[in-house]
Amino acid sequence: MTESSTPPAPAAFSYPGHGPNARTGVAICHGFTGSPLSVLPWARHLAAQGFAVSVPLLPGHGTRWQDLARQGWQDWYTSFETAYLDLAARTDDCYVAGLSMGGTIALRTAARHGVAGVAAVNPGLSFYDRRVRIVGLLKYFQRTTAPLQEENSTAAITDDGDYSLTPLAAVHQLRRLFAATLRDLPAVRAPALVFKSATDAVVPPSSLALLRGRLGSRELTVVPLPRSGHVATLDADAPLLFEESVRFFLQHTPAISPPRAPTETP
Amino acid sequence: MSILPDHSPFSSPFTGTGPRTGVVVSHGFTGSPHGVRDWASSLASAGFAVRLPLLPGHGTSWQELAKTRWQDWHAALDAAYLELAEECDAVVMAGLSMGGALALRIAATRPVAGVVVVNPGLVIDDLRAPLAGILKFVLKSTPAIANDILKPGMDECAYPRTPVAAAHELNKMFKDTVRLLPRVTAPVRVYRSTVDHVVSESSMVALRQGLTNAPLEVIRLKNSYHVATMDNDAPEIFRGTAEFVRSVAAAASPDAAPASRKDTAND
Repeated sequence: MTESSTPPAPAAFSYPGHGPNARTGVAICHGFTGSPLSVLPWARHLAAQGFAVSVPLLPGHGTRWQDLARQGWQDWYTSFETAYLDLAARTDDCYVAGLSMGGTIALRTAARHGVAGVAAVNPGLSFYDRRVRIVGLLKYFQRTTAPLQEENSTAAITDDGDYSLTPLAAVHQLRRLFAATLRDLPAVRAPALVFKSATDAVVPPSSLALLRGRLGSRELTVVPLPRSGHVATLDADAPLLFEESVRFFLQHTPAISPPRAPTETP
Repeated sequence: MSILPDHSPFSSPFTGTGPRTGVVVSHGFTGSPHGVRDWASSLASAGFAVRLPLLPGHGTSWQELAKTRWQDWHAALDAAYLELAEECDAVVMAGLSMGGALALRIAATRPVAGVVVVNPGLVIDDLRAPLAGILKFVLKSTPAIANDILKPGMDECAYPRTPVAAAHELNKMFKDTVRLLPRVTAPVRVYRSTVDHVVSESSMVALRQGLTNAPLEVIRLKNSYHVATMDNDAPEIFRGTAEFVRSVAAAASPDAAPASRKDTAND
């Protein structure tokens, strides 16, 4: 550490909201082995626009990789679901959002609750690594693996704790979360917004194809992010991501009329 | 690169495999096949049967356009649809700007497998639009917003002026189409430029509110203006349209249906 201020530690983030958007909530979920820091600029941008925001710290995250191996996927899901329900109780319309596995968890929440909409950044529903198919067996022979890292990533670095290794038991849980969410996708009725990075070495394109094929929503908006890698919330297209998500939240909130809405639509 | 406008219609037979699939492509108001020709030919290269008609009053002079009614434009596209419906198992409607509205109107009145539209217009924001019916008697034409393209050196070769009488027709066609939107049941994919100086967000609001019975997918285009079929994101539109047409044709084709039903039965 240098003499500069200490980097922010992984912790939950919450904002009560202000102004005309205060009755609209957005619960944001971080990703696998990540922490609220990876979505904090997004959360702060929404807070600055007056939205009520909640970003929980998922169990087993923000500390060290050994803690991750002790958690099941239901622990991660329930932790976010609780944060959503708390926020929904305080607002008129509540959205769910998330990055990577956080997007997956947000989609599952959208399938099970009356969310106003769901915004997911590179949501994971499938893996590049084919060995994941046998991870349920593999985890008994190999305890950990090296975390996926993107080459030449332009995203900002956050200190999410010691996740220098990935427990295979946790990867197995991740796979089960993906399977459970795929089953639930047809039940999603709320409008969905998906951001897809052009160069994503973590989540394969098949995840978006699966989402397209199974999502029950009447409306899906896809925003390609041409200059970003997997962690797009911290990458070059972050301003576009923030702006498009705000546009989406405002457009689908009935209380607030969208910008330049026609007054005399036939 | 010098551009010699080619206003002629485009037509191509089905050359692919699988369900016989056709795509009807419509150009926009005051435009011509020139502005969507690369889109249509990319679909032809993908093996689909394609029809891209030249709509009446277009590709000549704005004075010619002033003599046509919206029903003439619609009838030309409907004829292209019927031609393809004759020879194909599934037909997908596609269109740019006003062509998007026409494509949606056909989808509301004919059986189609899907709709792909680029920056579709459904609402005229110009405050003079409601007065066009009267205004057309005193004002023959008004300057057009042409060449709304981010990519340098591109020319859509549309009319430099908009006849007010035709703008009045356009307004009537938009209102009629918005009224019919709930009848559309086929999947709709919209390519929507983030910056569009011709069609504003109110058209998207009308589309979203009107399509109560159709799945809607919106794909944002960050690097294009209104004429996105000639702009930086054109390759993405061409590739994505072929993929979309293939998927909706597979879902709608009568050959594919019994097979998938068999699959479910075996489950």
